[in-house]
Amino acid sequence: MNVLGEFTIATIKSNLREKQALFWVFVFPLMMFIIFGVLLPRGEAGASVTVYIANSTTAEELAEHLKRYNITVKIVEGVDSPVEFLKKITARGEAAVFVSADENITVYSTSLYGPMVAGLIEKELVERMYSKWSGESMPWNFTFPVLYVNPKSGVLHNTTYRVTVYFTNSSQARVIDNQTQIIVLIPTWTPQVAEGINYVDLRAGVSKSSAITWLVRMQLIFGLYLILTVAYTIHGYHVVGFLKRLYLRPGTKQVFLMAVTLGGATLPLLAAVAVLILAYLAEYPVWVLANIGFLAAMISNMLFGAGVGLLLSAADVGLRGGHSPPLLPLPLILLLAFLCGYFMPAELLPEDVGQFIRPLPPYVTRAFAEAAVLFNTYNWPQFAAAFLTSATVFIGGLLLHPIIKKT
Amino acid sequence: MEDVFLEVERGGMFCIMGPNGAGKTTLLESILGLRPPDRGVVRLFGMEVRGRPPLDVLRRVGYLLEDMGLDPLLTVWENLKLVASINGVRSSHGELKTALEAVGALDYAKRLYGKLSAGQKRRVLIAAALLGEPELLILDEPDANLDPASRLEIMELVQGLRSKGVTVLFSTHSMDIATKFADKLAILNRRVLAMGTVEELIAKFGGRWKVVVRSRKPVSGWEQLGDRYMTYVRNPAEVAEVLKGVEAIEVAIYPPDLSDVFKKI
Repeated sequence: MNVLGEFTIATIKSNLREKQALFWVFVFPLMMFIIFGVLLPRGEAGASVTVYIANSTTAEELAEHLKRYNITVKIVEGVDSPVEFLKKITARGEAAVFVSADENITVYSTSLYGPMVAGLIEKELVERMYSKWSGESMPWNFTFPVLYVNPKSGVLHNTTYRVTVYFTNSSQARVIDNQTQIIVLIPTWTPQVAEGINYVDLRAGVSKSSAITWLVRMQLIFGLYLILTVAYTIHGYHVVGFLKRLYLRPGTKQVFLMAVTLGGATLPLLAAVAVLILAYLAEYPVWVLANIGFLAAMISNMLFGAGVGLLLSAADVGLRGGHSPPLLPLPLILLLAFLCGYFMPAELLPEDVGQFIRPLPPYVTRAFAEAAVLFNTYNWPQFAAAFLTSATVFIGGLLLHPIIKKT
Repeated sequence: MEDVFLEVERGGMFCIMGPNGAGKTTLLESILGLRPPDRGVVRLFGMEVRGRPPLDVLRRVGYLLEDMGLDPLLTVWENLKLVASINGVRSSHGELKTALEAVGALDYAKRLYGKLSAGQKRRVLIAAALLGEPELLILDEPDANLDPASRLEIMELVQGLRSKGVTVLFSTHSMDIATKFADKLAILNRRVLAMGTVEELIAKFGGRWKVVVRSRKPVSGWEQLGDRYMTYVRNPAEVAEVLKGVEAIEVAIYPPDLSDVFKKI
C-alpha cells in the first residue's frame, strides 16, 4: 500500500478507536438530525395567525365572515408604534404579509423562517383564499398534513396540523404602509415553540419548503463540522507526535495532511450519508443538495471551518514543544453555527451580537444557501465577499500552521 | 549557543550533559536541521549539512527527540509502519520485527501504544528510531521520566546497539547514566564547558575519593551522616593516612564522580 493509503487508513483506525471522535462523528450528527428534524413536532395544537386589518370595515366584515365557520377571532389593539412592532415581530422570526389596497401581496421578514412560512400563506392567500375574498367559502382554517416520528415508538405518523386564524382591529397598522389593508403576521414562536425550533419547518412541511430549509442548514453545518473534524484530526496525536518527523522528511507533510484530511473526512461523511438516508426515509427532499447556491455555500463553510481549525491548531502546536493536549474546535464552531442562525433565527439575538455576527461568512452563507434553495435567489456579490473571507481565513490558517510554516 | 565544537567518534556513546536551558536539545535538534545554526556547520558522516539533511544522510540517522511521540490509538506495529513511511525506509514485516526485537518490544507489538507503560513506550520509540538500521542514533534524554530500573534497562538496551555498529549521541540529566554509559561526554551551558571521558573530566577537575566509616566514637573533623562519618581524599593512597586514629567498624571508599566535576565547573 502506498504512503497515502497507509496514512489514511491509520487515521481512520485512530479515529474509530477514539470515543470522543466517535461521538462527534457519528452520534452527534444523528442526534442533531433527531432533535432538529424528526422528534420535536409531536403535537397537533395549532399556531395562531394574526391578521391586522387596517380598514376596520374590512376587519369586521372579515371577522363576521369567518365566524360563520367557527373560527375564533382575536382582536388585538393598541399597538403604539406599528413599525417598531413589525420590526419586533419580524425579528422574532415571524413574517408579515402585507396585502395592499391594490391587492398586491408583499412578504416582509428579517428571517428566512419568515419568508418560508409567509410564502406558504401567500400561496394560500393567492391561490385559495384571497381570490375568493368575497366568496362564501374562505378557508381561513388551514389544515396541513405533517409527517413525524413518534419519539417513544420510533414509528412514523401522518397527522394534520391545524392553524387557527385570529383577527385584530388595529387601525394603526396603516401607518406602516398607507396602502396596506391587511397585514398577516405568522408567528413562528407559538406556545409550541418549546417543542423545538424546527417545529415551524415541519409545520409547513406541506410544501416541503421547510424541510428544505432544515436540510440546507443541517448540511451547511456539516460543511463546518466535517472540516473541523479534519482540523481536529490534524491537530490531534498525529501532528503533535509526528511533527518533527514530518518536518525532517521533505514532501511528507503534504501527503500526511492529505491522508489525515481523507481519513478525518471519511467518518463524518459516512455520518452525513447516514443522516441523508434518514432524511430520505422521512421524505425530506434530499435533492436540494444539488443546488448550486447550496454547494457554493457548503464549500465556503468548509474553507472557513478549516481555516478556523487550522488557526486554533497553529496557536497550539509548535515544533518546539510545550504543546497542550489536542483541543477541540468543535464547540467553538457549534457556538458559531448557533449564533449564525443554523439552529435558531439569528435575529432573535441581541442587536449587539447581531452586528458582530452578520458579517461573518457562515451567517452570509446560510442566508445565501437558504435563499438559493427556497426562492431561487442568488446574491452572488454578498456571497463572494463571504467566500473571499473564508478563503483568506483558510489560507492564513494553512500558512501559519507549523506543518507548512516550517517548510 | 556559542563556540560549540563536538566530534563524535563512530561506534561510541557520546553524552551531552548540562543544566536545564543549557542548550542540549537545541544542539541535538540543530544537528538534524530542526534549528539551523546562525553560524557554523554540521557535518554528518563527513558531509556538510546546512538545514535539513538530505534524505540519503537522514536515512542513516535515527532520532528520538523531545515531544516526539506516537499515536496512542494505533498499535505499536501500526505506529512503526507510519514512522517507516515518514522516514522513507522499508517497512516490511521482517524489518519491523527486527526493530522491535532489538528493543525487546515484540511481545506488545499488537497492543495500543497508549496502553503501554512509560518504559515500554520508550522502547517502542527507540525501535522507531532504529527503523532503517541507522548508523547514528540521536537520543534526547532517552532516560527521562522513567523509574530507576527502566532507566537502566533502556540505557543498557541502547548500549547494546553498539555491537551493531551504531553510534549513539545522547543527552541526559543523570550523572549516574552518563558515568555508566558514556564513552565521552560534553558538559554544556550555552557553550562547551568541558569535554572528555568521565575519567579525564574527573582527573582534570579534581575529583576526590570519598571515605565513609562507621565508627564507635565520633570522628572529629569528618562530616557526620547519621551513624557514619565521611571525608574526602585526593587518591586512594591517602586513605590509610586519614583512617589513623579512627576506630572504624566498617569502611567504604568511593571513587570520585561527576558531581565533583559539576560543582567545580
